[in-house]
Amino acid sequence: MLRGENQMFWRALSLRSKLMLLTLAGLFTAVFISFWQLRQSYRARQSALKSDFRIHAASAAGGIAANFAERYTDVQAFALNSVFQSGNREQMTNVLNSLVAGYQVYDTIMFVDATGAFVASNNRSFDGRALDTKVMDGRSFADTPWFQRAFRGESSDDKLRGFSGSTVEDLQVDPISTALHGATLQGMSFSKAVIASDGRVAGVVTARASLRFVESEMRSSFERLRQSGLQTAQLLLMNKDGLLSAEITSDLLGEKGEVKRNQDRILRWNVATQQGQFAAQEAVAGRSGSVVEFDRVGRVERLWGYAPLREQRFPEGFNWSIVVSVSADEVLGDLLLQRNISYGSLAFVLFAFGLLGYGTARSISRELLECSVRMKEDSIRLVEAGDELNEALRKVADHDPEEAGRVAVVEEQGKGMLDEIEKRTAALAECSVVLQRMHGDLGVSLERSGVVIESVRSVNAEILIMDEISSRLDELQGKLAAINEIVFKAQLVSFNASIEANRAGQFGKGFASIAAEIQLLSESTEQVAREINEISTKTQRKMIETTGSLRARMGGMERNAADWAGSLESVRSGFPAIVRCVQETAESLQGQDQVVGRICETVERVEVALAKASQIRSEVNRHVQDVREQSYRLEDLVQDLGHVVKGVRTRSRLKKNANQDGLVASRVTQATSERARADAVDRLAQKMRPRLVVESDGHEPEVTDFAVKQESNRRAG
Amino acid sequence: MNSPVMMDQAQRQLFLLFRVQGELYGTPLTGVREIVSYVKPREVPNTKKFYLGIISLRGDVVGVMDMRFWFQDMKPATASTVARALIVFESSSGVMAVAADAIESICQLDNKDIEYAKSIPSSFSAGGMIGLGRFKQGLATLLDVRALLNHVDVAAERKERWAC
Repeated sequence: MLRGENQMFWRALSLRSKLMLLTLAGLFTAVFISFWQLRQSYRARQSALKSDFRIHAASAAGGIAANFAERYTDVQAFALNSVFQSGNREQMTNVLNSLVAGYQVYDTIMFVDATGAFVASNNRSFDGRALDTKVMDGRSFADTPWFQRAFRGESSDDKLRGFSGSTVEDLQVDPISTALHGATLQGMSFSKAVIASDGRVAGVVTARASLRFVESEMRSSFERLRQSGLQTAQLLLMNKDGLLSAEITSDLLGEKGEVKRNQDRILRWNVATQQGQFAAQEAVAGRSGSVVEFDRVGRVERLWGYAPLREQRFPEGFNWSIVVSVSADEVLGDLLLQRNISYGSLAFVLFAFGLLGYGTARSISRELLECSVRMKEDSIRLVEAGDELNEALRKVADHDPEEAGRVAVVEEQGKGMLDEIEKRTAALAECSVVLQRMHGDLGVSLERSGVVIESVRSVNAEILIMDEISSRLDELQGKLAAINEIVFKAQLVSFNASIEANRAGQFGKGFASIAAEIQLLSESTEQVAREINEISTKTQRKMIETTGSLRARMGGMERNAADWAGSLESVRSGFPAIVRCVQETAESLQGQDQVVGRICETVERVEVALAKASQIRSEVNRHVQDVREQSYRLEDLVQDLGHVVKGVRTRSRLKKNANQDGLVASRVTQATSERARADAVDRLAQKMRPRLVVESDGHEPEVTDFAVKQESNRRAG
Repeated sequence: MNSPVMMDQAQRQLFLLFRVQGELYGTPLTGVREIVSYVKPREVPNTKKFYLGIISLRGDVVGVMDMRFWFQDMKPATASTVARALIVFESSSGVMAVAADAIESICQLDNKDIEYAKSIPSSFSAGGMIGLGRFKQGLATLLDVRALLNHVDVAAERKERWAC
């Protein structure tokens, strides 16, 4: 069913629409396939990139951890330096300067004695700038945590990972370096107690490592990324709270490779609490991996790889973590461009579909509009037809007695027709049944004729066998001819033998008897051969005659049977048409039955309408009567009004002429006004007359009566 | 009586009965050399119509006569039947054969059964015509074929030759 509708829909389309639909379908398929391929390649590239970035993050974390381990052990080496036990402050300063210059990662290396009092520190920075150590003179660090812990020998150990012996403070704004360098400097402190030869604590060496030691590792990772073509790479180091500890981007790298620090962000900007920084949160939580970050509209913004440093050789408790990210445009730009092109293509195809749909909808709406206009016209025509019907009903009502009689006659005839039709329908149904039975009988006869034809064919086959026997008899005749030839030869031999015996005379008598025997033999043989020949000839003749007549007869029978079957078949094939015809006739009679029923109903309705029309007529007559009475009253009123007008006019003229013409003139005026009044009333009556004609609905005799009456009234008046 | 093959009246004679054109003929067996199957003879130019030609019979050249045309003065010269046998005679003009449609039999005939030719009008000369014989097959014309062959002239006449 659905398939049929689809086929009808497809056939109903014009060629242009079909071509357009096919083109659009092809375009849509192509776009879909390219979309799918793009999605697959996009996913593959993305997973590869994610794996890469995870490795990048882990590599950077490994570098930082290794550098940290060096810093951890550096201070222990420093503390072993004997200069701190010598008490020579100048020597200590020199040694510390050389250490700072040598390692390049320390801002400050300072020695305090066992009481926490400042003893010595470097007075030159790692890049050779002079530092004023006077700010440190006299300062005591006895109450600082690093001193106390180092002095007590409490070190930040993680023996599982090989850290032991140094007291470490986490990254912070280093007050000592800040004071010494006169600028805000962040760093870590690695402290170690200096043990004198007698075993007591001589002081504490504290090495203030700058952010440079992490920045150098991050920079090398960054350089590796940049070398692989990723210019928008970004590395962020976070402490255990997620605060930014160090960052490397291409903007923050100077020409010589130095790192510019954004002091507003370091240790102030919490990376993990930023919205969307899923990677940072994961890294702070101690998990490593990689993630794709989407912006608010679902586009890929950045790729992130993240790793906590504790996965590397890094002491427990600090929980630093690092994230490496890159802009998605850089790594997936080409695919994103392709995706945008695909979006555009899809939008175009959908737009084209929409355009097609719009066109179709517009044409359909136009057709609907035309259809509605036609329906409106039809409804108007229907109303007109209804009016005409009403008019006709009115006319019928005017002649209702006769029409009612005719209608009754028509109804009677209709009922008679109904009965007749029912009878004929029943007869036709019976006829149809009989025809169907005959149809079945004909089918049986047809089968039997088939059997007859089959038997005729089998007889024909036997005739063929007889023909074959006849041909064999021909062969036998040939053989008999050969025998006759032999007999003839034998006769010749016997004759010659007789001749020879005759020639031999007396001596040839014995030979003559042999010749006679041979001749007898040959004669008898010839006789037998002749008889055989006669028999075979007779048989053959009979057989030929029989087969000929049989064949002729069978051919006739076969032809007759075939003709019979053909005629039966044609009759049989004609039967369904006849049955169908009869059924259709019966159906049409039923339809006529219904139609006649409807006609009868209509006639009944017409009767009802006639009754109503006669009611309406009587009501209209009553209304005409009412209107007539009203007109009489109106006429009376007009007369009264005429009287009043006449009186007023007379009075005014009397009053006017009394002073001028006297009594005679007043009489003349009275007579004139009498005529004028009569004319006015006449005019009023004339005016009223057409209106009354209209109201009385064309009953001219009534109006005429009314006019006569009005005239008489006027005369009486 | 005047026939060269005339035997003792009291003796019975042997006759060879044969058919030509359905007619039964008889000829004394003593003049017959042999009977052979019919062989189509090779025609010889400038011979009469009844001289069919020659055949080779075991090395001997044998002339073949057709009685249907030979007796044309007496009977219509038609050849509605087919010759099946040749009856070979030794005549004074050589070995000659006569074509016959069928060989009926060799029969002995008493003199009383022979109606001699003296009472039968015939154009045959030199005692060629013997008479009529009554056989069980019916009446047969008895001809001394060998005597007839002794005087036969097979060469065509001049006008007849030129007419051909």
